[in-house]
Amino acid sequence: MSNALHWELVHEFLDYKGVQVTKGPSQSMVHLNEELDRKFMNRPFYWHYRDATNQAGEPMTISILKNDGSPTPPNSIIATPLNPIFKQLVEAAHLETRMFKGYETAESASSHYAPLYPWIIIQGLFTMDPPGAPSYWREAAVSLTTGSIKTGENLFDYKSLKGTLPDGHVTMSPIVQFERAIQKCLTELDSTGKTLFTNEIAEAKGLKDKMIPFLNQLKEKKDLREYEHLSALYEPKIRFDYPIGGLVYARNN
Amino acid sequence: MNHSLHFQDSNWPTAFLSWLDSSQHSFHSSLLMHSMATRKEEYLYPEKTLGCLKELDHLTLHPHQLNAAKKVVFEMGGRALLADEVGLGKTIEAGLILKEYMYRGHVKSVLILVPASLGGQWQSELFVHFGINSIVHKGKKEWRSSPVTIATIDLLKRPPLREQIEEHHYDMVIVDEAHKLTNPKTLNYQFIHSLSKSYCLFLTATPIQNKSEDLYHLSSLLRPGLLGSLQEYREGCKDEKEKIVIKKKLDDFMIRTRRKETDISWTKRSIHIEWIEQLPYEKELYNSIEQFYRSQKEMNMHAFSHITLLKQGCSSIIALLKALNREQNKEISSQLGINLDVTPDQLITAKAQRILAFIQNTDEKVIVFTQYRATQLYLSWFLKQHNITSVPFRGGFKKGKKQWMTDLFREKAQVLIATEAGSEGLNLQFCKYMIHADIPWNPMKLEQRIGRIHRIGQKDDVEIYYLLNKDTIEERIWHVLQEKVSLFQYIIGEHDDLLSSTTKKEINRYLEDALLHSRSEKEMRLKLNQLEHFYELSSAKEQS
Repeated sequence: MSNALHWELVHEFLDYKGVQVTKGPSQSMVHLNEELDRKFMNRPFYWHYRDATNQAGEPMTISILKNDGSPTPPNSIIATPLNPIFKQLVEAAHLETRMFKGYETAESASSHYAPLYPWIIIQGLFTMDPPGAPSYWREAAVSLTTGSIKTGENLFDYKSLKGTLPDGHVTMSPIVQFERAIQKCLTELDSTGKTLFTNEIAEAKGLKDKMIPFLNQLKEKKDLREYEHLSALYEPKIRFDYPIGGLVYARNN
Repeated sequence: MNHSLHFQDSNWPTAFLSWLDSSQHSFHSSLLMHSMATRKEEYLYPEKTLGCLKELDHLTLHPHQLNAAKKVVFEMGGRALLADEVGLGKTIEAGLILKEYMYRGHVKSVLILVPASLGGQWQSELFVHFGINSIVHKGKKEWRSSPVTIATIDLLKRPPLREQIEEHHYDMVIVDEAHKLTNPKTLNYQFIHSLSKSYCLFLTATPIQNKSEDLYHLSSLLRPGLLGSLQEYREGCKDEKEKIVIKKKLDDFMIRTRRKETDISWTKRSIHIEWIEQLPYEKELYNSIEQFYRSQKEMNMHAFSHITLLKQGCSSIIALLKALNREQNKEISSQLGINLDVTPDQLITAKAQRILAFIQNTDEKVIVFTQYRATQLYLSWFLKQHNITSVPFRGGFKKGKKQWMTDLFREKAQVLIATEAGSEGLNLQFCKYMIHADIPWNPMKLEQRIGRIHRIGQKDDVEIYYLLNKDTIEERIWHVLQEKVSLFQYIIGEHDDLLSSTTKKEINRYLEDALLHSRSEKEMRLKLNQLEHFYELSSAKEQS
């Protein structure tokens, strides 16, 4: 796991949450706000006491260290996935981006309003159960004006998306319903997954066949809970993990 | 919705639809970019790759550990017997497998069953190496529903806890020192059988304790039906062709790595044998017992308990006197006219003096192993008289005390005096000297003892000292074993054939018979030659 990426992600998250951060190359000083202190610093008694006595609490100031060097300052968090608070911060950052809405910007200014066309996009990680297959990151997008579908990677330039409608632009109304568009995306992703894992599905079926005598024994011995759980685990299935859903207003339809 | 994709959160599509219909839309381009980049970095991997390794870059894993984890996760369906030799890091292998399943979201509830002495060690290793938090269940109500629970079988196997545990389904059950599950009639076996579990790992360095059927019973818990019926298995073990088939099936649920198969550069193990001349009182006492034993034998009244007495006599005077003071030995004591009321000076043994001299000549930490608690207490007292602090370690200690004793030995005391009981799984690789104050009958136990210090993580060459009394039963045992190296190697596992129809227990019995029940030296050698010949033949058959 790249600690550098997580380090940046957590700093982006803290910045997004409006927290005061003094960032250094290997150590950052973070003055948390009340929301983050209550959520991550695991001091319910302190906040309970402040709430009960109707007093404002003082959020903690913490240090985030890139490496586990010594001596560590008080209230410090090491930026490693094994540190439970750091891991929670990483997960919270991911949670904030589970769904997004962004706008592209037309390349050249025009006297007319530039039209932006709505797209529904779903992206995430393909993998398989039982374990053994490789994993892939894939996206599918459906135009809400034409119903056309695109699949692949980096379908839009996410880096240049804006959070609000840029000046001189106008959004086109969707024709395809959101529910229909999500359905089309998932069907497309389903088909992509089946193509990606053709060989692995056959291999996984082989493992399941190998386990059938064992599963039958469990069934015969009336270990039904164990039988059901294991049958489900050994059943080949395509997983779509860490999905990100977006509504993108793009230049093209 | 019409698709067969599996979401970890099955409500995600509905949640996405609700979000689109709401006005709670936000966007932070940089955060999104970083989140996507991090997800890809974290979770993209080629086939047959342990994804969790990306979180474990602080851990140095050996190829045999990685291979074992891959085999269990990708080929064995998560139900396996990890039977590596002592000191090869089975706990790390199990932790790695657990971490991988947790990383993939397969495992959320875990029950880890360990001997009482190892609970704290498991908890600490899971947290330090894998970042997995766990609790050690000691019977309190609020500890029963923790995601990762560590407990002893003894605590959980009886009502009312048993019923409560059996109500749950565990995504993974890990049993350390699983050789205790080889008898289907025991409560331990039945308890494990009754647990509802998906993935299951058994850990033991000695999957066969008494007979090859032990493996069958372990497989019945892990992969019922794999080896057919017990009768079929028994028959199969007698037939050379069938044995090959069974061995292949064993590979479907058992992983056994030998030290010599790993690429680990093991530090050297030096063995030193020291022949000790017993002190006069010691000698006199020992001889009187031996004399008594011989006269009994002439009258065909020899009993195995006499041999135990002789072995205790070799361990320490106090161990022998304590045994003679027991009800069943009162007759021998009275017939021999042994004075059980002795002064501390008479208790001194030549072995204790040698141990003292050794410890006084080094600043390094030393582990002394003995079979007898009386010897343990005596040695502790004797060293104390010479201002040497030692810590005891034995099976009867509670978990906390065992951990405390280990910590004291690591941090403060120079000497640890241990009995075998409860020492399994102990990691004492910070120590390089071990003294055997007596030798156990079963050479596997010797290997278990040495395995405490000669294991992964040991940086120095280890020095093992055997203190053996001259002209005693110890000398006879040792000489014969030295002479019959191939037999000895067989017993400690060099030529280990797990499917042999003749088991270790039987070998021990033959050895005992040859060494102790033979009427002459000639008869003893004849019996041993026959035994050796039998194993040479077995080995030749195996190779062909």
